Amino acid sequence: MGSRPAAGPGHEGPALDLRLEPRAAALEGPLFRFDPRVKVVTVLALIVIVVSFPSAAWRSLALSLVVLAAVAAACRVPAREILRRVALASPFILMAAVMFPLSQTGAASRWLAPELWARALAIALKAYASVLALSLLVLTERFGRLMGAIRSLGLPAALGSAMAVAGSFLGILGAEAARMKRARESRTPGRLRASKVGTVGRAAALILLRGWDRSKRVQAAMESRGFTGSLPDLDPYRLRARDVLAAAALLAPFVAVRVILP
Amino acid sequence: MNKGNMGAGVAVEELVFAYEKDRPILRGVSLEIRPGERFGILGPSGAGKSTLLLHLNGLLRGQGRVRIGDVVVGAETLGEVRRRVGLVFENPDDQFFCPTVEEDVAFGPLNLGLDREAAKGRVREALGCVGLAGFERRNPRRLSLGERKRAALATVLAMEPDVVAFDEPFSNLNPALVEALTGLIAGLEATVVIVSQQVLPALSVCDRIAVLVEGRIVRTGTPAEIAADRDFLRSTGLDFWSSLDALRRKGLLADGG
Repeated sequence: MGSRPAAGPGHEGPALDLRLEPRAAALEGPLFRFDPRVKVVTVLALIVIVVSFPSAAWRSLALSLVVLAAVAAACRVPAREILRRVALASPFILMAAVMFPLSQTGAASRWLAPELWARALAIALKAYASVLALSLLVLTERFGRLMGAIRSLGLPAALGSAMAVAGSFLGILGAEAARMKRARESRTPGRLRASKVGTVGRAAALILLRGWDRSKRVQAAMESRGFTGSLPDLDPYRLRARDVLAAAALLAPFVAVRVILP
Repeated sequence: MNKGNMGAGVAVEELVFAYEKDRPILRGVSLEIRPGERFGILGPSGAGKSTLLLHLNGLLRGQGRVRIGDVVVGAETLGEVRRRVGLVFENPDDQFFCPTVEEDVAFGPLNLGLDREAAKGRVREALGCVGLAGFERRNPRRLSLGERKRAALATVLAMEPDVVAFDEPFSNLNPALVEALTGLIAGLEATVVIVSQQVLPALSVCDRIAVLVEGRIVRTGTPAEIAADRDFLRSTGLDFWSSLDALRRKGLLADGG
């Protein structure tokens, strides 16, 4: 039983990476050791503070990004993982930013006004700072613990469990997508051409159906072990003074800048 | 695990079940499994074996009666039934949904209402029992298939069930892994029910065998009785002797071997 057979279904590559669990490397950094509740509250507070910066304070916003990036580097959060999330959010952020001046009514040339583009830049910087802060959170905490922390902060248990189960479902979809990709690649030389949109569509539908089928089996396995709707936490949360101090130290410069700014 | 526990008896009486109306999968199944017995349910694909197994834990409930010890499986007894009957699914990946082996194995004990320390104790004991001590912090999806099968068994053993029910435990395992798993099953202090299409390992580990064909139990007997009736095995698609004959024809197995 101790031998290691060929890769099985648990060894799929990231064909469609819906994995919500952070990489092991991210779980070895100092941020992982903090109480997840403190991290959730700190990140939410940080987002609120940054979003409340005046639009003209784009330098302060840019500095916020630098500070968050420095925290990520100091805590050994994998830069590649952060950049992947930033890249995923970028089309939405940039579209929102660009649409702001373009959607302003008034004289035809008003959309060229520098103050509108300064506000657009502020929108983008605030959004990037939020994505960066959330990335720090999800990359340094296990998904189940994160859900548990949110539940313990007052989120209704049913909603928290639903989110956790939805997270597991995404993992199942990712695994099914990886299986299907492998099966397709074994019979398709080279990349799938854009002209095969129908094939991609059918594959997506099949992934959903197979994911649904598999999720029913997972649910049966959970119910057979007494699952009644709530996910118990194995490790208790420990609120320590050093966690609160570290959170305060991180938030202090942002609060100070916000107070100083008009 | 479960020291001194001889397991509970299982009684199935006239069980009928259909996923679709007018297409019954189980057509009046009755069987009696004694406490501590290793009981195999063999049958061809589509015979209704896994469906029958799901009834033992109350995941499915058809017409008829299923009894675990003195508890009749029903909506009001589900909690007790799931404490008594542990199901080990065919695909171990269906059994894992937590990021670490420890959390997954502790899921059942925590649902039983055990406190965290007691649950962790159960985890250590169950993992030790299946030879995975030290695997607590590992991601279950990153284990080898043999390790995943054992970890899946640990998730059930941690609940200290009276009955351990295996769905196709020997599928996709190489002979060495099958042998190791049969050794583990033989050492369990509980009633064991094994549903399988793999005839040889089931014959080797079970005290009694029932053969299920098209939703009906067509024969019950000892492994020796089942193995000796080759015509019956052939008629049910379970003739393992034909593989041995093929080896004999190639000279890889001596006559009478």
